[in-house]
Amino acid sequence: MFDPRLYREACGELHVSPEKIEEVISMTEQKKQTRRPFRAALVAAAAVALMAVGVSAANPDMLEGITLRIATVFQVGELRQDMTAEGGAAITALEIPEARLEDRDGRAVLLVMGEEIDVTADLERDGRYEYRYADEGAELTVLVEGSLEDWTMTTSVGVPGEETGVAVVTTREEQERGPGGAAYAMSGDLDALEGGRTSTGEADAAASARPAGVTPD
Amino acid sequence: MTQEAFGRAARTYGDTVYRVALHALKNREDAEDVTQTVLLRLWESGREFESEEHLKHWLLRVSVNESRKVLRSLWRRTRVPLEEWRDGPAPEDGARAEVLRAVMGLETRYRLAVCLYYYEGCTVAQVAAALRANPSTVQTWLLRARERLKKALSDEEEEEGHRYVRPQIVP
Repeated sequence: MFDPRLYREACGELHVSPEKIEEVISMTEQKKQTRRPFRAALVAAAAVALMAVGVSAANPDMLEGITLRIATVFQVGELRQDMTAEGGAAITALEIPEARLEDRDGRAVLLVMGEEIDVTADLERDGRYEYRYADEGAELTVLVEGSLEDWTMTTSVGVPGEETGVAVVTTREEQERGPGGAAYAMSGDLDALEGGRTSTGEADAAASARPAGVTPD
Repeated sequence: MTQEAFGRAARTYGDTVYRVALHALKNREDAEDVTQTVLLRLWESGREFESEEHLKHWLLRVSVNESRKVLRSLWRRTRVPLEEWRDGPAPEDGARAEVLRAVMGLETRYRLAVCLYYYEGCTVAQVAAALRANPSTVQTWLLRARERLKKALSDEEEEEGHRYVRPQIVP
């Protein structure tokens, strides 16, 4: 018979080592969180193919890189950050996670969000495979179309219930040519940032591959 | 969140995060890593919480998510046999150790549901939110978990009974 009281007593004896807690606290003492310049660069590489909101063809320099002074950053789910710039402009940053399709001894294996999915049967049967992930912040779809030898992968991230979204299209050749990595895209009231933004004039691959929520030093 | 508030939250909820991660991962080192990751995420989020309850439920949800990420990694799948609870921290008391071992023998979703409901005192709706499942599904998981625990614990009692039968000389 399951006795919840005994179980609670058993769980009450499980403790994390105090050193681990103090270690984290001391890490954060060295690592201040917000209210400091946040430099986000968008790399005009194969990674960012479409920015649906905010970034238009009228200001292509935005694709080169921008420097913002961010007042607050909120992580919303795995793939989204809601930021407020100094001056009040609201910005949504979406992370497009790395997705790869690998040929493993003739099997097509999709690697995304820490998962490894054998999609061989789906590609052979339907010529496509669709992966979906959603949380409170964003919806991710990875659509693989074609065959193991010749495929196209469309990775798109959007905000639930809104039109905001970004997408990346990758082919097998592109994947083989370039190193992988996550990409970021930003949308929102970008015109309001005019006074605060400057083009860095350099592509920052490291910034593009930086995990969401970690601000560069 | 101030440094002081973060320190207080880390010391107050460190064990809570650890227990959830331990139920998901069944491994002390991985659970401690997840605990640190979750606390760092709390710090980096810079969030202000409406109440302690709000903070706790945010931490529970993120703990489940971070544990699932570890569970998904191929490296871990090949390293740790997921269906075994080996060398895990166990209470000294036999009955408590037994019940914890039985819970750890359940499937991941059942373990997490049991931990959140019976130990953390979450409602079914709160468990459902943390595990991203329907409340009715969580109720089913809890029901099945109880059934399996009942069976596992009664089997164990039977085995115990057999184990301690004193040998007798039969005339």
